[in-house]
Amino acid sequence: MSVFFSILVVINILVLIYFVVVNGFYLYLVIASFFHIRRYRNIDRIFQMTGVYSTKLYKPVSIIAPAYNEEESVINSVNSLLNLKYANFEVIVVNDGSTDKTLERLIEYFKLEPDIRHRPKYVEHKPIKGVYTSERYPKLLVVDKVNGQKADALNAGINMASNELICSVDADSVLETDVILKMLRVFMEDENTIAVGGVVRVANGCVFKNRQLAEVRLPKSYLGRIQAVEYLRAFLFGRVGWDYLNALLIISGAFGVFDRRAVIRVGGYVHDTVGEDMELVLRLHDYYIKEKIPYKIRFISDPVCWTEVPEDYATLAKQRNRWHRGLADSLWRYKHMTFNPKYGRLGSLAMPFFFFGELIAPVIEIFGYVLVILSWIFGVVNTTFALLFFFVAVVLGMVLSLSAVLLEELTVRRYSRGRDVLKLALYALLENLGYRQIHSWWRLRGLIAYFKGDKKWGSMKRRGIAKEKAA
Amino acid sequence: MGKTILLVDDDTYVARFIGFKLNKQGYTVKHVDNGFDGLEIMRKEKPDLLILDMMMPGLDGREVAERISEEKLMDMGKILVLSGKEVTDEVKALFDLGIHDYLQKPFNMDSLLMRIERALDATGP
Amino acid sequence: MFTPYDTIVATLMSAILIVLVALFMALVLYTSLHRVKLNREKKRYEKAEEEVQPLIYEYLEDKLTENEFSNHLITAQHVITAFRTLNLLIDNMRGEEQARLRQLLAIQKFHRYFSSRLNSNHPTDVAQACRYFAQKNIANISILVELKRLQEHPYNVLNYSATLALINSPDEKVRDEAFNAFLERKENASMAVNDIVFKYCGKHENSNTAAAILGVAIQNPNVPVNTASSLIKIIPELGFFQLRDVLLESLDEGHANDDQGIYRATLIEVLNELNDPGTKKYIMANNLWESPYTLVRLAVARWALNQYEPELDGLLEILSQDQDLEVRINAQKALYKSEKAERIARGLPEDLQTEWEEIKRSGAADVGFL
Repeated sequence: MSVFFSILVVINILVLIYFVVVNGFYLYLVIASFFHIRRYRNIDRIFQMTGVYSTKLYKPVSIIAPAYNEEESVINSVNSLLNLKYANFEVIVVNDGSTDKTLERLIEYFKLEPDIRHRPKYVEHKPIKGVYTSERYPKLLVVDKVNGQKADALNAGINMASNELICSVDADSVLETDVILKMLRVFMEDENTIAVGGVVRVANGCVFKNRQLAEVRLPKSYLGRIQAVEYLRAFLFGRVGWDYLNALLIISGAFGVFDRRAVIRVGGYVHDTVGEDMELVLRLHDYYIKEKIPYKIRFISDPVCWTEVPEDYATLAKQRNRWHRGLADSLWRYKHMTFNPKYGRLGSLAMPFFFFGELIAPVIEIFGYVLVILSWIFGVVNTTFALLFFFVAVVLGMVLSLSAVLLEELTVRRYSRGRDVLKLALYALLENLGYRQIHSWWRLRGLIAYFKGDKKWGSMKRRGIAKEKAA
Repeated sequence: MGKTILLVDDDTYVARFIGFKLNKQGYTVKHVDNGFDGLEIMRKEKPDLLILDMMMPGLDGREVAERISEEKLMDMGKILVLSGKEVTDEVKALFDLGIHDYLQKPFNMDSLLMRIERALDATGP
Repeated sequence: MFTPYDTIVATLMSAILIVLVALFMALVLYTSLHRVKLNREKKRYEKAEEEVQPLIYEYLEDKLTENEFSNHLITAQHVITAFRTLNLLIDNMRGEEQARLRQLLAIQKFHRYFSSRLNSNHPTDVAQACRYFAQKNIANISILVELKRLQEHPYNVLNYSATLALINSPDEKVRDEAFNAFLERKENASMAVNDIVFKYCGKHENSNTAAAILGVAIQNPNVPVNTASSLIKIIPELGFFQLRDVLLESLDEGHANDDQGIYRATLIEVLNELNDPGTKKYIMANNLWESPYTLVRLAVARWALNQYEPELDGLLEILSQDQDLEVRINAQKALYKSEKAERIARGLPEDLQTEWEEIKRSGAADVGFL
C-alpha cells in the first residue's frame, strides 16, 4: 500500500513540476519576446516607399482570400484589401462554392466580367468554374470554384496568382493598411525568407470607421475579453518568442505571407487536415531542412490583422476542438522531427514543447486536477501540497497572462483607453479561474475526437465586425 | 479671390503645406484626410475646386471621383488629381470622367498653383 | 504539524502570491503613470509640430534665416518633429522649395542629434541616423569611419542604411568605394541591392558612366551571384540597354561560382526581356538546354517560348520531357507554335499527354509563370 502511496505522491509532484515547467517556459518566451520587440520597433520605417520608385524594385504580392458564404461582409473585406497601401499587389478572392449570394454580390459591386485564365495545376484543387476580372478594379481577380474547403481554395488561389509572394487571409480578417510594407523588412533582413506570420488580434469591440480600424477597444462579452488576453499571450508574445528562438512552428491562417515558389515546391496546402496552416509551415521546415536549402520562417509583431472571434460557447468550443485536432494531426505527421538534431531548435525545443505543453496539456491538466483533489481527499498529499498545486496551476498562469497584458502596454500599446488595459488585466486573472479549465476540457475532447478520426470543420456564426453598409 | 478649395489627401504634412501656400494666394482651404469625409463635405457645401489624392486607404481617389460624378456633387472640370504613379489606366479613366488635370507627386508647388488657377478660370465668365 | 517541507512550500506560495500582487499593482501603477507620461509627451510633440510648421513656412518665405530657424528648435521634440516634417515635405516636393528645405537639413542641431544616435544600441536609431546622413554631405571623418564600419554589420538593415548614406556622399571616391564594398558582401537582400543600385546610378549625371560601372560589377568574380543577378535584373528598369554586349559576353563566359545556375538563368531572362537576337548564339554554343541547373533550363524554355523559331524544335522536344514541371510546361507551350507539334507530342510519354492536352486548351493564354 505504501508503495502505491509513494508512487501517487511522486505522480503528484511530477504533475506539479509539469505546471511549473510549462508555465515557466512560457513566461520565458513572453519576456524574451518583449525585449525582442523593443529592440526592433519601428525598424520598418527605414524603408520609405515613395511613388518615385518603380514597382519592380519591390516584391509583388498576391493576396488570396478564400470566401465561403460571406455575402454580408465580403464587399467590405475586399474593399479594405484593395485599399492596402502598397504599389504592386493583386487581390484574389476565391469563392469556394458558396451557396449564398457571395459571388453575385461581388459581380455586381465590382462590375466583374468573365475572363479566361488558364493555369497549369501547380498544386491540386477542385475544379474552377470560372474566373472574373473587372476593368475598373484591375487589382481584383475572382475565382469561382467547386467547394473544397479552405485549403483547397487557397491552392486554387496559389495556382492563379501571378506574383512572387502570396498572402493568405481569412474572409473575416481586417488588415491594417500598411501591413505589406511592414512585412517587407523581413525580406530585407534575410533574402532566404520563405514565410512570415503577423500578429492576429481580436477585432470584436473595436471601432471601425471608413473601412478602417479607428479605435481599439475591448470586446463586450466575457468570452471576447478572455480571448483578447489569450491572443496577446499566445499570438503576440508566444509566437514572437518562438521567432526569437528561430523555431516557429505555425503561422496563422488568418494572415501569413509565403514565397509562392516555396509553397508550390512542397505541394501546396493539404486537404486531409483541419490544421492546414500549421501543417504547411511544418512541411516547409521539413523540406528545406532535408534538402539543406537555407531558409527563414519569421514572425513579426508589427503588421496587424484583426479578426472576429466567436463570442458564444458553442462556436468557440468547436473552434478550439478543431484547432486541437489540427495540432495533433500536424505534430503526428512530423513527429520524426522531435528530438532530432537535424532539426535544430525546432526538434529540440519547439516540437517537444508543443507536444507536452500544448497537445497533451489538457490531458495532464484535467488528470492533474482530479488526481490532486482525490489525493488530498484520501490523505495521500497534505493540504499544503494541494494548495501549492493549485497555486502553481492557477496563480502561475495568472502571472503569465498578466505579464502578457503588461508587456503589450509596454510595447505595441494599441488600447487607446487606459481603463481598457486595466479591465484586461482583470480578465487576465479571470482567465485562469474557470476559462482555462473549460478550455482544457474542449481541447481534451478535440484530442479524443482526433483519435476517433474526426475531420470536420464546422461553421461559424459570423456577425461581421467590420460591418458598415457597403457605402 | 475668395474661392474655396477642398483638399482630400491622407498625407497630412504635405496637405498642410499645400494649404498654407494656397492660403497665401488668397484661397480658403479645407483639408480632410479621407474620401468619406471629403464626400460628406461636398454633399453639404460646394467647394470651387477639389484637389484629390489618388492613393488613400479606405476610399481611394478614383472611387471618390466616381461617386462625385454619379451624385453630381460638383463640376468634374474642377477636380485636380494628385498621384504617386505615372499616368496609368486609372488616371486615364479619371480623365474620361472629365477631371481637369492631374499632377504627379513629387511636384513643384508653382506647377500646382498654375494648374489650380487654370482650373478655376476654365469655366470662363 | 509543520514540517520543514511545509515551511518551504508556504514560503514559496507566499513568494508567488507576492509576485502576483506586485505585478498587478505594477500594472495598475505603470499604466496610469505611463499613460499620463505618454499623453504629456504627445502634447509636447503636438505643440512642437504646431510651432515648427509655421517656422518652416516662414523660412521658405525668406522671413527666417537658417540660424533663426535653428534657434527655435529648443527641445528634442522640436528637433525630431522638424526633421520628420522636413523629410516628408522634401520627399513630396520638387524644385526650388525642395532645394531650400534640403539646406535646412544641414543645421547643426540635426547633425548633433543624429551623430549621437549613430552610436546607439538600438538598430532603429542607428538606421534612422544613417538615413539622415544619406540626406546631407558627410564631411565629418569620424562619421565616415563609423558608417564604413556599419557597412560590415551583420544586420542587413544597418549595412543597407550605412551604404545608403555613403553613396550619397559628394566625394566620388567615397561613393564608389562604398558601392563596391556593398556589392561584394556575401549576402545581400535583393531589395536592398535594387534600392542601392537605383540610387547610386541616379547620382551619375552621365548614365554611361553608371552603366559602365554596373557592367564591371556584373563581371566581377568577387560579387556573389545573387547580387550579380539583382544587378542584371535591374538593367531594363534603369534603361541601360548599352549593356547588352556585356550581358551576352557574360552569358557566354558564365560565372566562376554560379551556384544553382542563377547567374546564367538571370542573364537569359533579361536578354529575353530585351528581345536580344544575339542570345540564341550563346545558348546554342553552350548547349544551355542541357544545363544541370533547373533554373537555366527554365530560362531557356521561357526564352524559346518568346523567341520561337523552327530551329528550336530540337531542344524544345528535349525540354518538353524535362523532370521539372515548369520547364516542361513552358517548352510545350513553345512547341505548340511548331508545325511539328502534334508529331512531337505523340512522342511524349503517357503521363505527359494530359499536360499537353491542358496546354493545348489554354492556347494563347499566359501560363502564370512562377
